[in-house]
Amino acid sequence: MRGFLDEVKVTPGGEHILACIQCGTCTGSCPMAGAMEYPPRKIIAMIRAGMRDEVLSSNSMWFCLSCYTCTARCPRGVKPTELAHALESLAAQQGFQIGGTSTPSLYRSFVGSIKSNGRVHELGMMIKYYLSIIPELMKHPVATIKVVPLGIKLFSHKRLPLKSTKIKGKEDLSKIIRKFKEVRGKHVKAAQPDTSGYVNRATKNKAELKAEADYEWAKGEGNKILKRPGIEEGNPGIFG
Amino acid sequence: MKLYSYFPGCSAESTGLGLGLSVQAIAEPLDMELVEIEDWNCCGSTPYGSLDEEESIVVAARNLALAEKRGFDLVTPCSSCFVTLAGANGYLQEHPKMLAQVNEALAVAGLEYQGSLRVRHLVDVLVNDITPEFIADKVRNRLDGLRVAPYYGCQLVRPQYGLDDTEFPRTLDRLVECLGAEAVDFPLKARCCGGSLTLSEEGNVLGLMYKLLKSAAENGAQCLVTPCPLCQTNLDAYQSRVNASFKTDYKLPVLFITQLIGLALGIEAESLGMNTNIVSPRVVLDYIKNRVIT
Ligand code: SF4
Ligand code: SF4
Repeated sequence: MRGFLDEVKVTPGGEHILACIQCGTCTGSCPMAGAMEYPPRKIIAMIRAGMRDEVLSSNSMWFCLSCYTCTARCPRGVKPTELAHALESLAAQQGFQIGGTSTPSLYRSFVGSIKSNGRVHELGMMIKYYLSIIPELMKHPVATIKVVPLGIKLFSHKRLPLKSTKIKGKEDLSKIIRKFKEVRGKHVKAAQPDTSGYVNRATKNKAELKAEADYEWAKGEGNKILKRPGIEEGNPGIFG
Repeated sequence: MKLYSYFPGCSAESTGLGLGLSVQAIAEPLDMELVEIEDWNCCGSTPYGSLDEEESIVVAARNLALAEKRGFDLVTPCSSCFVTLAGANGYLQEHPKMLAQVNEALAVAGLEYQGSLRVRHLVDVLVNDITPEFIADKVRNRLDGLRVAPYYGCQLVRPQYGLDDTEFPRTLDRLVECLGAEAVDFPLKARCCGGSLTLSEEGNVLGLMYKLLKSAAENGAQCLVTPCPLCQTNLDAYQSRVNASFKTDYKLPVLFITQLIGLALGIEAESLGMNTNIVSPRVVLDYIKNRVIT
């Protein structure tokens, strides 16, 4: 089985993780850092330490607002926002249960709406979402009731139409998605990081090459020097 | 007449109805022809990419393929659609292997994407193609003295697609100023409003909106403008929730920048969807009325 780090690296958004120097700029810039179990810098360290279960079952990436502040400020081009999306999709596809946030349910309702209409029907999506989190809502009845007037306001300002728009190419879209799953299935076994992009854009700059070399070294020599016990294969010991 | 392919985005038909209507209303007077991509599907937005990053690229790619056939730049007024479509486009242009896989899938619907498209935000088009000078020429109701806080949100300027500075952008300020209005200092102009997490994590994000409204109010703004339907919905619809949580009494109208442009062009409030705004935009409308009369 591939190590967790390798898995993250081949997921779109996870490519640049090796370039991280753990400076903490991302965490310092993140409006949600305080609410996350593990803020962005720490998550990166944990991924490189191979802590799959802890990372994928945490609420951190689900708290990400996709505000891209970290991405804009990261001195190493790591793109922690994209990384959060990559982690969300890994967690979702591997069936991790995430406690303490209903964002996954929200996203599922949203995507469900796209899959059945081709477009998002916001009212339908919201209803589906609230129905899917009833047990959660029961815990905060007062807060829940307060959502109703808000919905009514949007509705009375014509901003939540009852009717959904279905696109003509709905079937086409489903076929495309199905076919893509099939195509991807074929490629996944032989998955290597898609480095074609690096060559194109020449983004694999010196710093990234150095980071990779450091990583290889850390995996082998580095671990030996530090004599850290219990570090599994593929674990970049000194970075963790 | 400048020609574009147009991607309104799902919200332009619902929560962002005011955006959809006002874009349509200002297109002609500003010499833009926006031809809607036929039968477009949802861009996928953040949620799709979060559940399945690769599949979301395919979903976006159907739109890119449909738009590429016409050959004009693809323009969207929605900041979230912009980031999603531009992101997928960039990824496909940079990853030929992924593009090949995506094309294998698109082929079942008789589509192909070659990777030649340019995805742009409407604000980019307004500032760089149409230009503030041209808009100023078309203004019938100058908004002299109206104090406006230009709120960019995150997705218009981040991640970097080269439109503007990621922290202290100016493009929207220029659009506001070309209408005669004053763009007030607004240090938080590119901070996040909470995005779609207002639905799932309201308690955690109301504070972000509070800070934005506070900063705008303290700098003397009479209203905010934004291009983003999500920002607009959050700051407009949730303003009363912010007031309740933080014991404040903000009544700041939040307009789409295209609504403000439309008003300055002399377009009727109704055609700009001003009646879909939740915090009453009366301050702005009265301001214009009084100026026209006096
Ligand atoms: S991701 Fe970037 S900003 Fe965050 S710790 Fe690593 S190098 Fe610093
Ligand atoms: S994009 Fe996500 S992780 Fe990055 S600063 Fe914003 S909320 Fe935090």
